[in-house]
Amino acid sequence: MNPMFEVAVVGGGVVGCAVARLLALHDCSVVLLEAGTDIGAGTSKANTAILHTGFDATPGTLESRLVARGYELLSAYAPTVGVSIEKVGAVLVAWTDEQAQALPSLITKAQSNGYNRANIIDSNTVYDLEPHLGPGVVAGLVVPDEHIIDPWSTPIAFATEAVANGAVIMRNFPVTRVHVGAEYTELQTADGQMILARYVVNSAGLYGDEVHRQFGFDGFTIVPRRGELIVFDKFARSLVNRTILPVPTAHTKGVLVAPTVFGNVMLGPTADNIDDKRATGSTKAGIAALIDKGRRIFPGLMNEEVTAVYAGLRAATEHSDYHLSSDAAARYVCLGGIRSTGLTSSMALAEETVIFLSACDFMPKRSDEVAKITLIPLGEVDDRPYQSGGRIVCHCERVTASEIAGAVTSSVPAVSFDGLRRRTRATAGRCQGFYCTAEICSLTGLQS
Amino acid sequence: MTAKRVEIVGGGPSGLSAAITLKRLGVAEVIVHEREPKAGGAPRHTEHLGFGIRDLHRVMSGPRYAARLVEMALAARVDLRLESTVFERPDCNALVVATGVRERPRSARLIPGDRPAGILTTGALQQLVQRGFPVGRRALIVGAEHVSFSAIMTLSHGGCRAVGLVTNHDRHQTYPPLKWMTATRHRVPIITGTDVEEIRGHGRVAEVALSNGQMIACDTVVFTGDWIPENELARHMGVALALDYPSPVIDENFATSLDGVFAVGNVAHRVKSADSCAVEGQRAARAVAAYLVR
Repeated sequence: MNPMFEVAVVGGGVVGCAVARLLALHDCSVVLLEAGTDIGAGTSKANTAILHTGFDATPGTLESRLVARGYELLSAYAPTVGVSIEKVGAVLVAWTDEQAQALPSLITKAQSNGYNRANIIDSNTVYDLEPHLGPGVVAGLVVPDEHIIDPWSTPIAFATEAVANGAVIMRNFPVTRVHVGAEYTELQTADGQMILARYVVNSAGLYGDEVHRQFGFDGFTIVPRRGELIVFDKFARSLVNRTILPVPTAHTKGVLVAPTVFGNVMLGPTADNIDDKRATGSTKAGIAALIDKGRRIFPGLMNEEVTAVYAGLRAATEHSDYHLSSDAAARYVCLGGIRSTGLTSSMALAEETVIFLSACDFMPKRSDEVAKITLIPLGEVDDRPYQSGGRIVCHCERVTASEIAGAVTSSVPAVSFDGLRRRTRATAGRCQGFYCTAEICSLTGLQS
Repeated sequence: MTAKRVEIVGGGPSGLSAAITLKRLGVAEVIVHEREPKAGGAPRHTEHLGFGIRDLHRVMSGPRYAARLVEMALAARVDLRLESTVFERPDCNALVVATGVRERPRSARLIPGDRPAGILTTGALQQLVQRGFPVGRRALIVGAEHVSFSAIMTLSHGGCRAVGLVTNHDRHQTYPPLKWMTATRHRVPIITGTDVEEIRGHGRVAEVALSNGQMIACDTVVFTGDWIPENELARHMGVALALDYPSPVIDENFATSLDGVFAVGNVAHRVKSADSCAVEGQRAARAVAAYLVR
């Protein structure tokens, strides 16, 4: 007998996890189907870790509305579940007169997006705020409400809360065949696993177009856009006070420099449209381009060691906005083309899903009693377990033995070093496991 | 020196040797902070002979040497504190930073490609093999320093074959006997003047592209040497670092730019053997003792 659920959410990235969480807070049975070995391990693990106000979105788009709403929701939610956020603010830096002339139009754009706190400052003020910027700043635009956030704990928190409220997570479940029946939809994998669900939400990210076609629909095609990122040692953190944004061009939002909640500095992303949905490797050209840009923005960055280089694929499409749709007959909701802003908009997309489902005549009641969860925060500004005397195993990131052991026994457990790293920061620091790899193998049974 | 207290951060060969000598010179209280559950430093994990020659005038294995230094420290009544991490400058008459050195990992070398499992440093490799964990079947070693050749032996103990040793230098940087005992004996080709261009593999390392056009099929890559001083505490305290290599600047008495703060062993200079660091620790202890009675 195949398992049956009222709703199946296909895709366990940050969006799918947010949807599964919100549905689990209602009186209905929910399954989250993840193709990979872990949730939050695709596009969601390789973003710029910024909680956007949405000041620079295209006014009137779904993305503009949902980023603004998602920002409100996630900035309120994160502190209640142990997801670290910091309101560091951002400065958009103009390096040429031409860029400086574009700043007033960005204020207007921000206002159209409902954001009224951006303002233009001269170069002296920019250097007062960010004394380590390289030479040549012409002017700047301050966006005081931009946040940085722990991007890995966000989907983990959603998933943990979903499970605590009865949702089931099935990993290694890549949906390759869909059959919409009269009462239930069959969702199958190539290796013969099958579940039945009355309603299906497509949050399959890079593979969203393929799932959409399985339901017999068309309308968007995913063109993976690779973004490479470089993370610098924590010693670089004192160079950067705020997120430093470039003036966007028609082609790209450009390369930014941002502090991370873990106390590092991030440089990136590049933006290359590619064909291969598995090409998450960094490239020689991408790294060289970032280093070249980074050197001009913060010359001092180049004196610091790099602790990580990685690439993520954003689920871009041929359209410039998200693709959201539903079909009452197929009892189906599609959250397609959710690009890098998906982290910020995730909780708003979950709200949107509930509205779409009600249009499909599915209106579950909000549960009277819900289980609360909280994670151990991983941010530098939060209290960390090592400060109250736990045995430190990962010295670079000061991760204790009990945090590491806990990550593999939790309700949404890590099954690999990569998963452990996202849940605890262990081995994510400057030595990359030189000291602690074997001890972690002993503690967790994971293979390095 | 009856009322003086010296704290030493790091329980490796230089830190323990400094502590033992300070006690012998009559310093009342000598505390060694070792952040790991066991003291002895890097030699704990180096399961081959060649340790203790310069300081103990014997030839020992790494673990035996590490254990001997700990025994001597305890016998000398050094206050050895395990699992003790020092985050801030402690209140004491003199502080000795002996925090050692680590290998530069893949990320800091800016090597492009995928991020699969199977990418290690020698430090991690030695500990994995010592604990009996699997380390793959075919490994490419990056670097051709002493430690790189040591990695050949460690891999062999772990049931993994070294399929090549690649360095961007024109030649290897080790002693001919060590090269002979390892690379020659295990028939490991040394590829010189060559960079690692890209690591490929989903899940596990599958192949490595080299700048000479070669593609190496392997499931493990070991990044060896290319050392970085473990300078977090020193830098955090505001100790001046050298410009060409990020170790604390020290004078002939091992004194750093901060009064009362000394640095010794591999944190303080380009990497040297364990026994050389131990001898240095003994010398540093005499300098610290002189400082205490200045």
